[in-house]
Amino acid sequence: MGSAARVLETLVSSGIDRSRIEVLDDRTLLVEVPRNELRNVVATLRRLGARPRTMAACDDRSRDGVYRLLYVYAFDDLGTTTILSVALDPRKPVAPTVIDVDPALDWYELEAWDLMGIEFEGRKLRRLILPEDWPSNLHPLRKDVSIEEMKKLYKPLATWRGLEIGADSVALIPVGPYHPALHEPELFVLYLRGEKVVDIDYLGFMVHRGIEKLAESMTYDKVPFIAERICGICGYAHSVAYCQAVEHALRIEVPDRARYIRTLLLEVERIHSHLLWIGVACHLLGFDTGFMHTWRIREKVMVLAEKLTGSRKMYGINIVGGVRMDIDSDKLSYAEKVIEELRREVPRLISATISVPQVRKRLSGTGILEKSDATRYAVVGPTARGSGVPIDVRKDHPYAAYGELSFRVPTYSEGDNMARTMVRVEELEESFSIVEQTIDALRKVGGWIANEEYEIVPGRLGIGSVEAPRGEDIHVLITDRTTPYRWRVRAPTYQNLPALRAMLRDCDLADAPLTIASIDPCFSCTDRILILDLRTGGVTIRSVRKVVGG
Amino acid sequence: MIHRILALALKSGVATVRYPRQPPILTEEFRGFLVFDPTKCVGCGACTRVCPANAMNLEIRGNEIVVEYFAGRCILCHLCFYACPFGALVATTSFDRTTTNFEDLFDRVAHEGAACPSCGSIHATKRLIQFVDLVLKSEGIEIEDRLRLCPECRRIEALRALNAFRIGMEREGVEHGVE
Repeated sequence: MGSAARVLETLVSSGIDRSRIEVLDDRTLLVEVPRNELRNVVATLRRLGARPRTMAACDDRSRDGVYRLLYVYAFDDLGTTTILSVALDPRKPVAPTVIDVDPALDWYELEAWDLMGIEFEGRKLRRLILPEDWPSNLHPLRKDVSIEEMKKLYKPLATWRGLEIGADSVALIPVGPYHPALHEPELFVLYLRGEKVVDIDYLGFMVHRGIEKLAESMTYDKVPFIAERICGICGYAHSVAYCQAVEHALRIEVPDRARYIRTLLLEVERIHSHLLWIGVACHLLGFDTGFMHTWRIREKVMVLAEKLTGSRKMYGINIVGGVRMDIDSDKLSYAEKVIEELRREVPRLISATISVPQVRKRLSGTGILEKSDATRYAVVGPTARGSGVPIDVRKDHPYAAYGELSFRVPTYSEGDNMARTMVRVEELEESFSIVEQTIDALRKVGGWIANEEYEIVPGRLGIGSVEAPRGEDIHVLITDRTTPYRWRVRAPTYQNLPALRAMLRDCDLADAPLTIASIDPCFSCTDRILILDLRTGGVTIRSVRKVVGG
Repeated sequence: MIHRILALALKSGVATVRYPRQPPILTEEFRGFLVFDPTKCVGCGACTRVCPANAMNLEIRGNEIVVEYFAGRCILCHLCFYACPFGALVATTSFDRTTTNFEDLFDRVAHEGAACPSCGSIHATKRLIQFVDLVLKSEGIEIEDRLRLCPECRRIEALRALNAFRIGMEREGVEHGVE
């Protein structure tokens, strides 16, 4: 009982009532906060140096008759998570806004309003996720809204358009993802003065798929597969985060061998993802030869993943309680060989791509994110570490086998595109070393690969967090008898995107695409949750209809 | 810049293959699409219960029970492959489902259905019932007529038997003067 007790002491000495604090385990505290004290408590936590990780809105009316907001904060230096739980009126859920004391929670409040219908006093609310033609007062994550009902009530504008032209059915195809950076569906509106960017708007959430709602009707063992499909690049991290959330909630002990297999695959995924990013960065600079060579080397990692799991990208080997496929010694030797090749090839590649003067010049001094802004927006992953914020879930909140391995967390203080690039380049080296360490461990550690004897207890709260290649993935999960009761996913891009506003300010237009790409954004994971088509955000409205000239 | 890249390019040579003219780069571990082995499938439906993507379906069509695999929904997780107690699913390394015929995406095994002797409805495949018979016989368990009924009729039959038993008990109780 180390760090949790220390945080408990700090909280009590900052004026939080001891009787309201519940110690869930030696790394997690739950604080029951009355509605009117929320702002003070949040301000206190931020002053104490806590980092906002996620916020989950839950419809707990069927459990204890209230709506509930769970604010998840971390004391990274102590490796402790503090969860603030705020109960809201079941008839008219209204909470005070906290964005003036914690600006990093802006999107979370908008999302809670959009999907759960929770109002926030003292701020302007707008739609963040759902399309503009979505019926108002239909909040999909509420328990009394069924998927069938939503299908009945939601009539996309395209339906009328289809009827007008006498079609039997319509397929909406958004032509041209708006891509300044990656070939994904997002739109950045840049405001310019001359060549300099003054402000930026982000319009996203165009591929919102309703995963969180869907998981409420899926059994525990089927969800890892849909969790893995949240992201097409670092999906395994999501699947591990989900499993860890369930394991945390139900206190499931994961066998050692399974922990090492998960670690091995998470690092294989990081290597492929960082190489992918270096390639994309080259491509954005118009340096396609660099892109080709990076991806040539990355291909070896993809084949390695296929050899280890049976699939290049969708590893699909996680289950609650462990993994479902073992890795034999032949495969371990093969992995060792691939890492050896990469150790030779990657430095050669870096010297031919990142280190050439033309590329260095484009990366250095552009897209600067100051340390103060990085903490304010609570950015995660290489974006944070490039701005001198030394946070890494693997070190701060160890999971899988990371607690038993030795590795460094590369940190740069410049905060420019070069710093973020160098963090990733150095992380590649660390990942090679971690993979080698896990291979050694897997040769020694035997035993089961899954613990399937667990009891499902409804109403438990679990947190699962993983350092994905882009930053921290955090899943909040509340259990029910056969399915998750509430599953809240937060992907790293969700946390990093709002910080682009600070990064792009006063940046040259020509550097904007690279800067946007420098956080390694993944729009689909950010969008996660709901239905099909068209989107809105803020003031500007774009719809497929307008794009194709309808 | 140029000389570094050139050195790298000359050293690495050609990395790609001319797919589809050449076979794709695949390891033997690759989890590809599945096909049924109709000689082994008994139509128990274990695959339909584990599939996370609803690619496996069990349907009653007339007198037949059809197990249907739809590759269009399949996510290649191979949970069904491991769940099948009869080894009736064959794993391939094929990944290409390009076709001009939608029907190509389906694989089906049609089983002769077993009719309930009481209500006549189709409730299981004949092969599954034969298999259950075999297991029971090997365990030395006698097969009662009630086991042949569909779940619905069996429930009714069981309730009837229970009721008869209860009435019997009551009568007995009355005769012996017990409440």
